[in-house]
Amino acid sequence: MIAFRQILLIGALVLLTICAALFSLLSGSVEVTLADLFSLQSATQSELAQQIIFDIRLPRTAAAFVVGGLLSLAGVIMQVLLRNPLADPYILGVSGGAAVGALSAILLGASSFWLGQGAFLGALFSILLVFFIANGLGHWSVIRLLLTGVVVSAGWGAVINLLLTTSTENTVQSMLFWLMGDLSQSRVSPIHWALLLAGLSGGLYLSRTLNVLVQGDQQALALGVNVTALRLMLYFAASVLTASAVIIAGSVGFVGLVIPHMLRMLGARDHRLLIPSAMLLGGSFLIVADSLARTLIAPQQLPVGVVTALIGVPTFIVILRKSISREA
Amino acid sequence: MTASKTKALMQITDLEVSIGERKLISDLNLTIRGGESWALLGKNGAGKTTLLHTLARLRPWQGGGIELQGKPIDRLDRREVALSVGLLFQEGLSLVTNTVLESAMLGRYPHQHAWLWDDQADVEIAKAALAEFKLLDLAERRIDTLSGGELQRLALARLLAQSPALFLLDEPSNHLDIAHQLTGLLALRSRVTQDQATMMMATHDINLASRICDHVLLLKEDGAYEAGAAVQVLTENNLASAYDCEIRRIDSDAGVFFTPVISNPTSERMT
Repeated sequence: MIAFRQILLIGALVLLTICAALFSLLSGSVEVTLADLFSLQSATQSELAQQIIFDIRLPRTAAAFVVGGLLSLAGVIMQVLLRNPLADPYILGVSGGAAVGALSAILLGASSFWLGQGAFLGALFSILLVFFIANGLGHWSVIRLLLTGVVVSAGWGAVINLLLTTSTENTVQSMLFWLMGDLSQSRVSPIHWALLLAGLSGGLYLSRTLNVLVQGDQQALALGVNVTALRLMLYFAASVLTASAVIIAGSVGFVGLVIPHMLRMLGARDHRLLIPSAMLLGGSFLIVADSLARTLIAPQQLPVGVVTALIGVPTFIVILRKSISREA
Repeated sequence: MTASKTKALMQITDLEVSIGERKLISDLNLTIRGGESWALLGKNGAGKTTLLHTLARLRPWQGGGIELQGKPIDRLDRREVALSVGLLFQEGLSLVTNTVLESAMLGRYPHQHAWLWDDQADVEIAKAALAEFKLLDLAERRIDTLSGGELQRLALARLLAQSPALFLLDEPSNHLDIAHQLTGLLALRSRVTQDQATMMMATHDINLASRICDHVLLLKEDGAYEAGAAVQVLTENNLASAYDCEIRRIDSDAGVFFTPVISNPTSERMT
């Protein structure tokens, strides 16, 4: 039931996103005021401010929004697909595959372009590997998919550790930054925006069906949902969204796990509401986290994944305790 | 009888259903018409649930065919099946935290086409279904705050909102108190049959079946069955062979009742 209350939530989240973006544009080592920001086009005396905002902070803010949005959407889909509230976008090994690809590229001393390509190939390989193992053994079931994903993920973890221990100190530093998620080198292209938009509109298109699917496979079948085809579609959609986020910024943790839960607690259980709100809250959360990552101990920058985890872990514990006490 | 003139809603021909090695149903031939109400009886493990799931196309079968309104059910799109066949699950509703009205609205899913907005007409149908089971006052309550009986009535309301032509009910009297069993299911039957729809309910309660249903499908050992008008199928002999226990018919001024006779040492008590 889309009612006034729901429209209010979306409106509040749009406002939050705008505030987060302004906060991000204004915070940093060089002071820029709100007045500077709005007089940018005309004023010539603030050319430096203009450069900082448009060339450095704005692309990074955009990247944070896109990555946060992609991860939250993927998180919502993963949690429906696996019928598991603890599922996050990385649970089926997409990020592990991407990391092995990216780390191999770093190890070979490749440029950042090839780093992206390596991550893409690794993610693609992992997506297909999990799909063929889970599907090839017989019929496609949630538990088989989950087990396959977790096992493949563990395999990637071992390869990552192998790469880390056999690398020189210099490369290990950049590898760790990539593994923890880092937006300092991130730039988003129109393709990434298109993927985010496709994720949002595809999610909205399926939102009613997702509401039925969370009632259980049998109930969904009885109401006319082609569950097998839907699960396949959800698997590939979540994987592609996750892979794009990982390619842009590495494995930023906790956004995809925590954001959907926060929204469900706020009452957005209907996917028609949950999907757009997850994109907005995930995007603004990562904008804020990234602003903190580059200002908290400036001039040194933290990987954004550290900040999201530092905010995400306590939030998640609170949510978990609340949901346990409600069930009891 | 007008029944023979009504077009068949579902035509079951030589149906064979097994689970693993065990043959539950063999050579079942049955015509289900609009306006009928069927009871599906048989002892534990006779295949009642499996048969209902088969008729709703939730599982494959091993031989024969099922036609829904003249078309083989396995050639229909799932959504087309859901428009004509609805199923009440024995396990009841999943407790995913919706409100009562949102949960009833899920029954409208096969009818809806828009991405996002709910048609007011669909909302009205869902509300009417809730009213039918006296749940309208609870419309905005979260379903995890409902009692077992309220949840069962909500499951029935969702099915009514789906408004299929064939209502398949697996133990609809679960969690319902003795008054709701009779009034709720009689109300459902009259709602169902007034639209020339049909219901088939699997139940352990022979007395409930005989008071609500005009037809009975009685599953016996090894895939055998009796099917037909309730008065013809519900005999002491038929019931005894189906339940493997002596069952006596008692005529009273409140109606006809069946009760197992427990003096027989080989009998199993039904609960």
